[in-house]
Amino acid sequence: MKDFIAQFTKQMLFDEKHVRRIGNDFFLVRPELAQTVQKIRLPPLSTGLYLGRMQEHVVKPSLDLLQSLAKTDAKKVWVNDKGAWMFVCRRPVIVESITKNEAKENDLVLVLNKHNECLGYGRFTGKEIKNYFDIGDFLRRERGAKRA
Amino acid sequence: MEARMKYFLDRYKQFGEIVPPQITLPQTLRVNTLRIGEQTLVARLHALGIRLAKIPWLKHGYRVEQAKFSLGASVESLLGYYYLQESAAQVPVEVLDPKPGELVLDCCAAPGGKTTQMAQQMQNKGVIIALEKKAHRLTSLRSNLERCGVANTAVYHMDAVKAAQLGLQFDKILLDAPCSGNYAGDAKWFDKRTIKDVLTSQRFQRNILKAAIDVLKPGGTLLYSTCSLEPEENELNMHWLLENRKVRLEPISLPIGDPGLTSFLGKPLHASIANCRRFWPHKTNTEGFFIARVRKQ
Repeated sequence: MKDFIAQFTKQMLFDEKHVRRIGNDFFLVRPELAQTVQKIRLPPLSTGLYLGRMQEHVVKPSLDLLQSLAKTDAKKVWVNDKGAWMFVCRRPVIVESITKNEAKENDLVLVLNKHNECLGYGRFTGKEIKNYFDIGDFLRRERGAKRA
Repeated sequence: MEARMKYFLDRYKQFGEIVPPQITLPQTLRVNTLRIGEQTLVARLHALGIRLAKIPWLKHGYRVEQAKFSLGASVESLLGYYYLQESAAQVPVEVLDPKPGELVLDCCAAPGGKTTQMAQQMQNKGVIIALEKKAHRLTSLRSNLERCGVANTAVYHMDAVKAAQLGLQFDKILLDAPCSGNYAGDAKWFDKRTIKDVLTSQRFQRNILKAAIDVLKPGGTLLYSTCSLEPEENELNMHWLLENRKVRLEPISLPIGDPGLTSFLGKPLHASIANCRRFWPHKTNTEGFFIARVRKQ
């Protein structure tokens, strides 16, 4: 998780002592919740604010981690409505949909919409932003769970 | 099918209600104020061609009057700005009224509509312990907690009848019990259900009720709700609870819903069951619903 954040920024997002790992998932746990969970003595499935999941050495950041990253000096690209919709549907964003760009070629970038909301991240190739992760993952996960 | 429908509709007549066998419910949502201001979202959705009307008896509930696309798949939904939640289903948490700093148990939490609503009401402060018995429902529960930005909740894969294993005593408990459901919004309900299903649900509900009351602090509040219209899962459970545990039923101040039934097929029930609220879909334009506020003595 630390290495993932370091790809975007050197700024500290949260105090590491409050981060808890459960299986492949990471959570930010406030002391009040941590103390209660400690009393229970049974392992929770999740606890506190979800930060993301490490899956086959790839981090899938949570919505809150993405928004926290967007408030740092991480490189960002802003896209128009059409680009935003394509991106959350797992597609790349073509340069014509980019309205503002802080990235150079081959940079890892956060993708933001016109409301400054982070929709995910990808790599800027010069011609497009390759989609590495987007918030549509939530819906795809839900649908996957329903099919299963 | 006709016979089953007639059986239930005749029963409802005996409870004093002439119920049309079908009803179309409006789509409703709850604004998630953990993520966005209410007026900001209403204006933003309006710009996208979605017209919302405030539901006057709910804190953050809106009826969707017009939508040009599926509200379940918008960017605003993915960002957790709202939760598509039936209007009656928003009532239990409002009546339980969990406060920041309290320790709250959610007995049957998935898919998380009411858990996320409690976190919202508690401003993400205090602690919610969310239990879910069914493994396949945990994915949606965890996804919704993430989407809505919930930070004060721990999830356990556990049957609420074993709540004593948690070793905690709770200030408040939400028991939105698994139930046989109701016909509003489910055209095949009469096809699927028999009174046997209702009685099976009742057995489960009483087991959870017993376990939940036992982990409630003296003076604490338990909110019991179902989306069933059948008295066996509602008023009869409350009558049973009053006879088996030291509790009382508190009045619920709501401008909607009928008092709970105080007799069932000629048998008188405890008078305080009138303090409960029963939502008949044809009167409330909501799902069928029942809520009871139980205070442990």
